[in-house]
Amino acid sequence: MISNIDSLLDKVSSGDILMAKVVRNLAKWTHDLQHCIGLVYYSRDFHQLSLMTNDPQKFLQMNEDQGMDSADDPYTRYRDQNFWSTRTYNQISSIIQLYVKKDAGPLVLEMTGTLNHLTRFDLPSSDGRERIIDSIALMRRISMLDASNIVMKLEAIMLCSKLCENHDTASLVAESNIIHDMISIWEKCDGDAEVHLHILKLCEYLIKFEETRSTVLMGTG
Amino acid sequence: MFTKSIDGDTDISRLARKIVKQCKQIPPQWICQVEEALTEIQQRDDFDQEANDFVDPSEVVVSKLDRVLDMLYGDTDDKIAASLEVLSICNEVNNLHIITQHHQLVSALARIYSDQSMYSPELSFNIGKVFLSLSNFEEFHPILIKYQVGSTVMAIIEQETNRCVEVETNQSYRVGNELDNPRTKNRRHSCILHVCLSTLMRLSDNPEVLCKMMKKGLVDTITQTLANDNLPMYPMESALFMLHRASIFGETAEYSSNQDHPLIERLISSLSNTNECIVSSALSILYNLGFCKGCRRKMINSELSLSLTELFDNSIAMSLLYQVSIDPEQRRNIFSPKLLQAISLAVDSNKATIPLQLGAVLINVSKPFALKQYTYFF
Repeated sequence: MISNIDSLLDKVSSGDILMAKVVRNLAKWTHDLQHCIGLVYYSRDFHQLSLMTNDPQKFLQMNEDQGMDSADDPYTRYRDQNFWSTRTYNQISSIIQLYVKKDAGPLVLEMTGTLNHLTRFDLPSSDGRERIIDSIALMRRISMLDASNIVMKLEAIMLCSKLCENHDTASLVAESNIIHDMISIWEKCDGDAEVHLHILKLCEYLIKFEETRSTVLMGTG
Repeated sequence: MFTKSIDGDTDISRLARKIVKQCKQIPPQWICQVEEALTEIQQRDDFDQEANDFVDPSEVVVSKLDRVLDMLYGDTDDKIAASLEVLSICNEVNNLHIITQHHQLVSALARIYSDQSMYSPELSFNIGKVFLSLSNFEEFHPILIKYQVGSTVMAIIEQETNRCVEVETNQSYRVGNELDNPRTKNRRHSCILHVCLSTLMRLSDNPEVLCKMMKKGLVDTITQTLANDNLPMYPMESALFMLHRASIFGETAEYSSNQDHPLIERLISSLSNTNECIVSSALSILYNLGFCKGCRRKMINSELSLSLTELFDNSIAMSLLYQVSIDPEQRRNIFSPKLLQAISLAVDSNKATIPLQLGAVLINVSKPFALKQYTYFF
């Protein structure tokens, strides 16, 4: 677990925007580290990992002949570090809920960005159905929080895409009719290529699964 | 001069306005007091008698100054006596105008200050104080500049700094004699330094003059002054004040970032001073210099972070820490275990938010490429 993360999140709960940025930076680092682990596992260029961390052995086992561990899952060691605990994840979600109610855009932006940097190895393995439905409702509110803030909308779309990576959660996203909100954002942000790209990516995830495909094909007109 | 014309019919308010207008040392808001004084003079029974015997005080001062001028051409003792006499005349602010109008005297004082201060610390101190008195008023600055007092003062600072070093190295030299006691000597030189630095401080109120001083090596001269470990508080404060002014110029930062220039090391060593004002001034100078990449590198190499650990409650110290954490390649060298412990304590404190500057430092060190060497979070 990340040292002092609880203290940092306590400060974020009190509205410390700078600490929210610190937490987001940490999440970005763990995200980049996982990306690097994947690259090194296949390229076997161990040097790349040493650019990210002082102790590469902590994340990937090297064999005596300087080759990689032949284990199937290169992320085993990363997962064992348990950087982002379920408690931390819950605390971040609570902070977002609290500050969405207070209309505190910048803080919600940083915390949503933090969640966007977390991967399936960081997020809790099983999340209850009700909790996901709550999250979808929350994303809707985030996307509507600051009408003129494109970055905020982007973070909400990206978070939505993240949920659609998984078959079960994608169904819940499809059922929530959030796709209509996405179409509305598409129209409002006409000309913003990045927003369009991320909405397309979300649609791509939904099309992947048979159960959710019709939502995109029928719902987007 | 004005009171000569007072009689029973004089319009006191008008005269008071005239006096305030002509005497620039009298602030306009003192007009009521001037009126009161004039009314008192007008109402005195013996006024008419006194008015007849009146001797213009400025004429008295001028005649005194003429006598002093003659003494200035005498031997060293005469010169010292003359300088003391001028100094006593300077005690009266109204006399400063008269002194500056006596060009021969100012010229002689400037010449002696430049030529003979090396041989007589007492003479140097007295004449320095005369020029310090004049430098307190901006309207006399052109006269001081005309007689190149700034350049002379800089030369004397350099010379006195060298003398202090000399005294330091000859500690056992004639200790028995009170006058030649190294401690007494050092104190005397420090007083001269304080007078010189205070004069420079006032003259440098004009940015153009400050630029000229910098071209003449002000930063080097003052850096040399800071080398004296026994420099008393007042001259040190003045020296740091001058450096603070100079530090806002990019040229100073570029110059002090040179490998051999000792300014940054000296400033860092003064952070351990027990006087808060000195620490605060040194921090402000370092902060200004911190906008230059070369200076930031030098600060990190000189182990600035060790000194900053002790100053965790100081907002300028934290701003400085933020400055030096800007360069990604240098970040790894900033965070000593002690500093990380101090950050950890601040984050774990019960306060709802942490200080703005410390928060900004944490953002920098939590950036993905900084985390490699950073053992605080992981």
